[in-house]
Amino acid sequence: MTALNQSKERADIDIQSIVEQVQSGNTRAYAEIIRCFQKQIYIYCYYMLGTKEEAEDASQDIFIKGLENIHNFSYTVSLSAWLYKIAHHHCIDVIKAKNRGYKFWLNMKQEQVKQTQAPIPEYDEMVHRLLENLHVDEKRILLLRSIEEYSFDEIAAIMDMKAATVRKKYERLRKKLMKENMLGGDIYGHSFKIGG
Amino acid sequence: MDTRSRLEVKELTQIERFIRETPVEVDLVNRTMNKYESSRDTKPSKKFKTRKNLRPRVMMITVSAAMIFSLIIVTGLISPTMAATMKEVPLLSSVFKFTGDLGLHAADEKGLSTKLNISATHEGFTLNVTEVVYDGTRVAIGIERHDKEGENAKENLSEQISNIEFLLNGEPLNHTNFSSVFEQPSKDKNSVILEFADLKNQGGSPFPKQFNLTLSATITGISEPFKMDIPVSDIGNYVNLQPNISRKYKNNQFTIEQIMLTPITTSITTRIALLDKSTSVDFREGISIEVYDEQGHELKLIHGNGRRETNKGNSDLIMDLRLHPFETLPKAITIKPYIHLYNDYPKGTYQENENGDPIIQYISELEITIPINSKE
Repeated sequence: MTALNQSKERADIDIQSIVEQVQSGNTRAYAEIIRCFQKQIYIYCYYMLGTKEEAEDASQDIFIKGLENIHNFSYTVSLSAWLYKIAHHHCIDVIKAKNRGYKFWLNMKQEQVKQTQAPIPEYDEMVHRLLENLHVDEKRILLLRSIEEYSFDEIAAIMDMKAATVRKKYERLRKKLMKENMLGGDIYGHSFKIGG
Repeated sequence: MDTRSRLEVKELTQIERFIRETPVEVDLVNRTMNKYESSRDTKPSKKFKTRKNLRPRVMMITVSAAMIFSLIIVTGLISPTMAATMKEVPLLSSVFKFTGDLGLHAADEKGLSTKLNISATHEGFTLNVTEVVYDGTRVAIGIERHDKEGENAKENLSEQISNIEFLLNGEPLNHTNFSSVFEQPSKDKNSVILEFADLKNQGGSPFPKQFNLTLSATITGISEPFKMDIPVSDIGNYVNLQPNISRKYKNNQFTIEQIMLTPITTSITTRIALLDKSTSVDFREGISIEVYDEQGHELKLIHGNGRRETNKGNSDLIMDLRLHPFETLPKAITIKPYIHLYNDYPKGTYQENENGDPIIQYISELEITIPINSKE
């Protein structure tokens, strides 16, 4: 089952009732929210930050921020959209903190992978490489489209942008990725085999 | 779109699928909750500071039929006389008797609940299961604390419990086989009612008629969890109607799949299907319901849970709602669906009337009245 299916399986009412419980002081009920969104938030952080360790730390901090601020949450957006907003700000802070070292480290890591042939699924490496060429907003759009299949309107609400702007950026990132694909055709060709 | 662009779109869709299906095994629940607990120990909780601000928002959300926990706000209040009565009869104390939940109140009065005296003690703190009832729609368990040290007397029991896990005949309950735990307050801060339901109306298995339930509750500051075995059996006294009546409105097909009337609960299962078979639903189109008897008395909502059947390639929303019981068998039940009206800006907020209550709009096209044959 995909993370998406799991997330959508939890219908609105379920999440709403849990949120209401947490807002009424039953913080323990928040465990169910973590259980429900952890994979998606983790995947988001993983591709934003680059490593599993950072993604785990960041996801935990994001959920804690969510819990600490749950009294500010109201249904102006869905809970998942709200969590992604927190996730974005958190990831940006993390990226800023390690800014220069990041690309260097990622390159190092990729070199290492090539040399040691560590058993990391190759297609997350492929995704990391593709994402590396995108601007941070483009990354967010692609991740939100991918992980949650959000509409442009929903992404616009999360990113505080106009839907038309999101659509334009999506178009631009598609072109960038395709250009990248032509340059690195072998990586992408390989991915199709895995995907089946 | 030319062939090349179409190919590109297909490739992008593929990349998006890779991202979505990135294989991850991650379980952050306990680590996150522990990290939160330890950070909370070192700084004052924001929750208490903001409680005053929270109230209007909570009340606003509570009005929606999708919202369940109005009881938490309403039933915290017990009159001093009542509290005094409780103290006089400690041995017969019932956690169910002092809730605002008419169903549990009836369970206590009619002797349908099973009185228990099961307890576990760690570090001078005793947790006691006082009673349990299962009516085929929900399991409700009354628990109380006895803390001789009195250290935690200021905090609600509900806030003191940092984790709850259940085993049903030894098998863990999780989001695949139960609704998650709902809580209701009772007579005072030393007691709480824990409730949950199965997912039999949402593609899951029903709970057995009789089972052994293991409650494992963790109290903040006490490392050993409080484990108690609770025997549960279905009181088995209910009317089950499967009207399967549908109505259509715009893109929605609204169906009442099942109504169960028990002495302690009215359980209603609805299905909302999208006629265009689309799978993306704007939450602003969410339909809620009110339930009335033939004389126009509205039943109060207790709690509910639902899910979309995305696995079956559609996004039918199946909801189980549990409401107060009818005092006597009604001649007819009327379901009145409604939607909230939303502002264009800020996007997604409720339109409110002059009293600050959300404005709702009944959808008369979806209204269903089900006559009940008294022979049943």
